[in-house]
Amino acid sequence: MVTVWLASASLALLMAMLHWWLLTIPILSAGVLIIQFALWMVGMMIWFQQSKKDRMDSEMYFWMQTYLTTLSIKKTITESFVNVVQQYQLKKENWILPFMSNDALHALRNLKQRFTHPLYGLFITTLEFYEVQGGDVLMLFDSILQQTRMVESRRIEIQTLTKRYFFQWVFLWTLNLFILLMAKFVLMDLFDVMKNNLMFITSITIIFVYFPFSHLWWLQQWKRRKEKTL
Amino acid sequence: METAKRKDVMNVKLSPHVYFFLIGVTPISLLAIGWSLLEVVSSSVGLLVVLEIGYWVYQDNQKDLRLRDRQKQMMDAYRLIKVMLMQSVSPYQALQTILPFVDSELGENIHDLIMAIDQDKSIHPYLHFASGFQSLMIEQLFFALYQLENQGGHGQQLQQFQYLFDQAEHQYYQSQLNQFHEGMQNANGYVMVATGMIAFSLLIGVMQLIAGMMYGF
Repeated sequence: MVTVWLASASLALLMAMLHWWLLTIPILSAGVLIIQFALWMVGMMIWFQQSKKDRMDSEMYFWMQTYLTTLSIKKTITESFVNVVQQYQLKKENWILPFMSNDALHALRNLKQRFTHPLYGLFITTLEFYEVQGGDVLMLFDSILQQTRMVESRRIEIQTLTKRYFFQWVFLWTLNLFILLMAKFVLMDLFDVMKNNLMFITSITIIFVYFPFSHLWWLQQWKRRKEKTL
Repeated sequence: METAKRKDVMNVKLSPHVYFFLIGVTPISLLAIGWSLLEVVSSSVGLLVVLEIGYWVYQDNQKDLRLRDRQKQMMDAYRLIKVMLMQSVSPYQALQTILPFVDSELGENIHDLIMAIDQDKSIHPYLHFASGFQSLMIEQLFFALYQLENQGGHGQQLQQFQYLFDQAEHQYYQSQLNQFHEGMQNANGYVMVATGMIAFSLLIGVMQLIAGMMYGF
């Protein structure tokens, strides 16, 4: 949260300073700072939430894989759970501790609070069935494992594409801001003349407000498409 | 099923407002600016035809998208049903178990199906449910589920559907992936609006400078 706040504030401050340097109208630059900060905050929060969701789903995949592999060897839910928890603690991953319980199945059920993907719910239902009826673990969980593998591989593909498109977006905006900077350096006289032109002031200010809006638009598209694809 | 039908009705009901507005306002505006009655009538009819075709294409596209979405949801639900059937659970119980894990709209439909099965033990509720989908695969699947429910058998018998569902799933994923590419390219394209505005601002500046030099503004 602090990172989100700091990143938004830094970006907004940088843009407001650039705006002030181009137009030297402090009140407008202050307005740009406030609007930019608010919009970057919203954007970064969405980004942060989505990254967290992706991380959780990925964690769920590895947790289920590890647990089922152990279950296929140990055969009992409790012994497998203890074994997997020990493995995680050796890796210094302590997120599991708040969900712990004396009953292994209960602890696994508690993990639903962390793993909100529907497949985890089905994993628990199947595990409950296994506890009562027994059977071949790998055959019983085959369909769930296949589904989680598929979702995980798609997520990796989407992540790669996201990086590519985000880099494109950053590059295009860097180019835009670079043109503005160069114009100010090269056409210093022009900027001095234009400082009093209302249309020029408005369009430069709109560009600076449009920047975080375009980020929100990008995020909204990305989120919608990602959810449909996965 | 009821929910989907309700949504269709709502979509159709929205269109007359647009029609009445456009068909009502356009002739009055045209008459006000001095067009003849013949010109107004012919242009209104032309507008109506264009709107009707546009609306039909839009509806068709929306219907197609909705059907594809439902089919995808059903394929996801099938994977869950299969997991339950592999555990020797009956199809009826499998449908009940998967209810909390499926999409809300499909969940409602499955709930309606379970209620219908309670009242009618024949194949009709299964076929009625399957009729809400575009693909015949779903109909075949529900026919098989009915047979498993009433004549017994093992979930392994559903393995025959796996290949078909995998293919359909793959095609769906590819089309969604294409739409992902398209959507992200569009989103990046909107940055060009800012590029255009920068060019426009600088153009105004240069023009004002030239005007100042030439006419002393």
